[in-house]
Amino acid sequence: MRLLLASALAALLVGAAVSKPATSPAAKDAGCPVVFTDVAAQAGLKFVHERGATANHQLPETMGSGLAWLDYDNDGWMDLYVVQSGPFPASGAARLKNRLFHNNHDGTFTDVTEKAGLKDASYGMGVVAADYDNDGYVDLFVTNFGGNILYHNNGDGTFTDVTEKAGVKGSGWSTSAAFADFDGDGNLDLFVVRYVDYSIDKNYYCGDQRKGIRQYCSPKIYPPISNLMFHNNGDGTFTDVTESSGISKALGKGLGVVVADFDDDGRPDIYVANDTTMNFLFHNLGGMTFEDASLISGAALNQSGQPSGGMGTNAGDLDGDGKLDIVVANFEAEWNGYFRNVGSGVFEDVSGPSGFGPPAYSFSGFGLNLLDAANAGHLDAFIANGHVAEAPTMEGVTYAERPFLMWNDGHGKFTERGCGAPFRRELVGRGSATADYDNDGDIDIAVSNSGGPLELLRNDGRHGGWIGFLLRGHKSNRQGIGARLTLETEAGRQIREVKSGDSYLSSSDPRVHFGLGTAREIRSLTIRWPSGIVQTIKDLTPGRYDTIEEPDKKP
Amino acid sequence: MTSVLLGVALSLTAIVGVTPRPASADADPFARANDARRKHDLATAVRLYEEALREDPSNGKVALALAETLMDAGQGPAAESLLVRLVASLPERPEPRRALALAYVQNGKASEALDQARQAVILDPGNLEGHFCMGSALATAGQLEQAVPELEQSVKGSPPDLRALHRLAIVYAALDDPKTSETFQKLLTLDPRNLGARLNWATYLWQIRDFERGNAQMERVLRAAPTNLELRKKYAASLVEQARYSQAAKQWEVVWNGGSRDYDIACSYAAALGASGRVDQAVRILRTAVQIDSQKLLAHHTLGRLLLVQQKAAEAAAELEICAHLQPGSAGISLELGRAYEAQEKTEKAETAYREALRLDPALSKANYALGTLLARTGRREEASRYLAIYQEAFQKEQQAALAGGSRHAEVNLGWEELRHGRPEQALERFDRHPDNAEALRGAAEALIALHRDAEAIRKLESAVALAPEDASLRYELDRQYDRVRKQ
Repeated sequence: MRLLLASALAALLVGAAVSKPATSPAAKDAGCPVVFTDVAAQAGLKFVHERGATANHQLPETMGSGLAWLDYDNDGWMDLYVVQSGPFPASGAARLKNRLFHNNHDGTFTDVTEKAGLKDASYGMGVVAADYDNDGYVDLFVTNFGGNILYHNNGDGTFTDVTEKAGVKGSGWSTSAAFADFDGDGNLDLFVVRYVDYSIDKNYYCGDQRKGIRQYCSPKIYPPISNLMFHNNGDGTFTDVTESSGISKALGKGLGVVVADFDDDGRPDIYVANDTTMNFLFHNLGGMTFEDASLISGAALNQSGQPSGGMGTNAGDLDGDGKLDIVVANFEAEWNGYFRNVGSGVFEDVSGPSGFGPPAYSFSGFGLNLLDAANAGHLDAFIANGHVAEAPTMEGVTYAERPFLMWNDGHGKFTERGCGAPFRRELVGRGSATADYDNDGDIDIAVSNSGGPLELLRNDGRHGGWIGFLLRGHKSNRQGIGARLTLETEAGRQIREVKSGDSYLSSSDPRVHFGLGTAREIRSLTIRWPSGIVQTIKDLTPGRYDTIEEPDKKP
Repeated sequence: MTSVLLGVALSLTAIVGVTPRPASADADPFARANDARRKHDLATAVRLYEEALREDPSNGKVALALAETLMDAGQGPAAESLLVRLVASLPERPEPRRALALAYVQNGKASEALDQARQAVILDPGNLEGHFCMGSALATAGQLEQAVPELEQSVKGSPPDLRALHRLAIVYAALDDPKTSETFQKLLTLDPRNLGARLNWATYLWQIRDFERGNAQMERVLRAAPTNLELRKKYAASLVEQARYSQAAKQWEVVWNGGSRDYDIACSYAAALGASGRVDQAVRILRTAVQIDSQKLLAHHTLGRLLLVQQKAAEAAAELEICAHLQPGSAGISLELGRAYEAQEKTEKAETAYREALRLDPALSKANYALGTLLARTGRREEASRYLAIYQEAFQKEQQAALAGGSRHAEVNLGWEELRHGRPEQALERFDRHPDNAEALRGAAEALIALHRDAEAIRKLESAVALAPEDASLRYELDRQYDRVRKQ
C-alpha cells in the first residue's frame, strides 16, 4: 500500500496543490478598490504575438515575448515597444516585426515602427529600454534567439542599429536584460540573461514518441549557459567582461532578471531567475566584479532546498521594513517565490506563510510586476500566467491561464484576487510591464501573450493619493537608474529603486511612483543617487510627477 | 515492467476466471453440474460433479469436469490432486494431462506444467488446446518468446478459444508487443462481459502510459461491478500514479464511504486529498487514521507535512516529534522537524534538529542546505558556507545526472522519429551516440535492419540484451531477428 502512496506523497513534499478556483460571475468585482480593463483595441494597440509554432516544437516557440515602456520622444508620455517572435527560425524580411507604438496623449497609440526605422529579422524574445549613452534619449536593447540588437535613439523619432559598433550582439539564446551602472562610473552597463545551450539541431523529441504526441522539451535536458556582462566604455561601445567580472563561472538557465541593491551597500546587485536550476544572486563587489552569493543568500532555492522553474522576477520592499525583497514567478506544481530580505544580503523563503506562493501551484507564472495598484502605500503584485505545453499533463492545468493580482496587506501578506474582466480571461501570458500610460496617477499594465493579443490593462477606480518622480542624473547616469528613493509620510516610509529591466523579458516605466494611501502630508523624499550623492527634498505636492535633477553634491 | 504485468495479469485471470463452455441441461447430476457451471454457480457445480463421481467413480469425463471447475473456483491444489490421480489411471489420454498442465500453471509449478503439456502434445499433436497448455506452461516458466507461437496456434479455431486469446493478449502485453491492444479488442468483441480481460487491458494501457484509454476501460469495468471495492482501490492507485489526484480522491472516497475504513485506506485517501489541494479534508482523514492506529508512522508523518503546508507549525512539530519517537534515527524526520521548529522561529531547536539529521546521515544534502541557510540568517556566514558548499556539490551532481538522462532519452526518441520518417542513416547516427543504452541499441538495430545490415543489427540487439537482460521484449526482438536471418 505504501508504494501506491508514493506519487501522491511526492506531490505533498513540494507543497500541496491549491485547487484552481473557478471564478464565480456573481462575485465578479465586488469589493475591488480598483478594476482593470483591457483597452488595447480601443487604444489602437493592434498586435498579436506570433510564436511560430510548428509540429517540431522548437523550444523558443513557447517562450516569447516581452515589451517595454519608454518615453522615446521625451514628451512626458509613455510609449510602448512590443517584441514579436515567429516564425522559428527567423526567416528574414518576410517575418513580422517588433512594433513601436507612440502615445498620442489621449489614451490612444499610433504604430510608428516604420517611421522609427526599427527593422529586425530575428526571432525576438525581450527588450529593455535605457539611455545607455546619456544623451537624453532612451535607447532600446532587444534580445533574440541569435544575435541581440542595440537601437540608438537618434533624438528625432528614429533609431539606428548600432549593435556591431557597440559590441553587444552576444550569442546563443538571450532572454531578459537589464541596464545598470555596476561600477559607478556614470555609464550604464548591460547584463544579458541567457537561457540554455540550444540550437535547432538539438531539438530532441520530447513527449510520447510511440503515440506521436510531441511536446516542448524541458530545459532540464539542455546544458546550462552563462549570462553575459558588458561594460559601458562611455564612448558608445561596450566591452564584454563576462569572464573578468566573474559572471561566467555561474552556469544557469536564466529567464528573468532584476537589478537592485539588496545589501544596501550602494552597489547594484543582480538577481537572475533560472528555470529548473538554482536562481543566482550576484553580489556586486565593485570594480565590475561580482561574487556568486546565490546559496548563502538563501534566495537561490525554495525552503526545501529545491530549485524551481523560475521565469519572471522582481524586487521591492513588500513588508515595509526598508529592505528590498525578491519575488519570482515559477512553473506549475510550484509556489511562486517570495524571499524576504532579512538584511546583510540574506533572505528567507516566506512564500508559504506570506500567502504569495500557494495560489500559483496550478499555474505557470511569467511576467511579474510590483505595483501599488490602489495607491494604498504598499506594493501589490501582478503575475501573467500561461503554460508552455499546449496540452499540460498536470491535472486541472490548462495552457491558457488567467493572470493574478496579488493584494498586499502592507505587511507582506498576500491575497490573490483579480479585479476586472482581464483577470477572468485565460491567455498564455508572458512578458508584462507597468506604466502610468495615461498619466492619471495610477499604474496600468501591458501584457504580451504568447500566440495571443497584446493587452493594455487600464487601472480605474478609487485610489489613494500619489506622487511620481522622473530622475535626471548628471554625475550619475542620465536616468538615475539604480537610485534609491525613500519617501516619508505620516503613514510611514516607502522605498523604491529606479530600474531598467525586470519582470519577464520586459522593462517598465522608469518613473518612480508612490501611492500615498490616506497620507496627506509628504514629509520628505531622500534620493541616494548611483554617484553616492544623497539628496533630500521637502515641500512636495502630491498628485503629480516631478522631475528631480541630480545635484552636484549633497545640498 | 513486463514481468510485473505478466504476474498481475495471470493472477487476475485466476481471480476472474474464464467463461465455461455451455452444457445441456439434464436430469442427472452430471448434466445439472454442467448447467450450474455454465451459470457460474461453481459451488453447486462442484457438489453435483462430486455426486456424479460418487455414482460413477471410474468416469474420467466427470472427474475432468470436476477438476476444471475446481480450477475455475480457485481451488488449484484440489484440482491438481484429482488430476494427478486421473492421469495415473488414464496415462494414454491427452485430456487429463492438458488439464493437469493447466492446474500446475495455476499452482505456479512451471516445470511440472511443461512436462505434462509436452506429453499431451505428443499424445495429440494437432490439438489446439494442447498448444494452449503448452503456451501457458511456457509463459509460467518465463519463456514468453517461446509461448507466443504456441498461443498463436491455439487461437486458430473458429471461433477462437477465448481463454487462449486472453492468455495470448497477456503474453503480448508482457512482451510489449504491438499486437497487444488489437488482441484484447478482439477478445472483448467476442466476450464483452469478460471483466478480467478488460481489467488486464486497462492495466496494460496504464503501463504503456495510455491513461485515457486505460481509464476508459476501467470505468467500464467499474460500471459492471460498481460495488467491487477491490477494483476501485486498484483504479484509485493507478490514478495516483497518473498524478490525477482529484479523480483518485473520488475513488478513495467511494471506497471509504463503502465501509472500507482501515488505516492504509485512510492514508491513501488522505494523500490523494492533500495532493489535490483538499488539505483540510486530508487532515481530518489522517486524524482518523491516527485514531485507528497511533503507533504507525505514515499517518503522523503525512499529517506533519500537511500541517506544515497549512502553516500550523506547532501542530506539525508535535506530529513530527511523534514520528521521531516512532522511527528513531531517521535523518529525514529530523530534517522535517527542524523545518517545523524554524517555521515557529525556534532557531536553536531547528539548528539542533538539522545537526542531528546530519549526524544520522551526513550525505543528506538538504539538511546541509537547511543548516547552511539557517546559519547564514543568524550571522554565521563562514560556517554556513561550509555546509552550503557540500550542498552545492551534491546539487550539481544531481543536475548533471538529470541532464544526461533527460538528453539521452529525448535524443533516442528523436532517433525513433527519424526512423519512422524513413531516415535510418540519421537515426543510426543519433542512436550510436549512446552505445551504453539498451533502448538506443534497439533503435540502432532497427535502423540497421532498415539499411539491410542484418548482421550488425543482431550484434546491436545482443549488446542491448546484455545491458538489459531482464527486458523480455529485447530478447523477443533478438530471437525474431535470428529467425529472420536464418530464413534468408
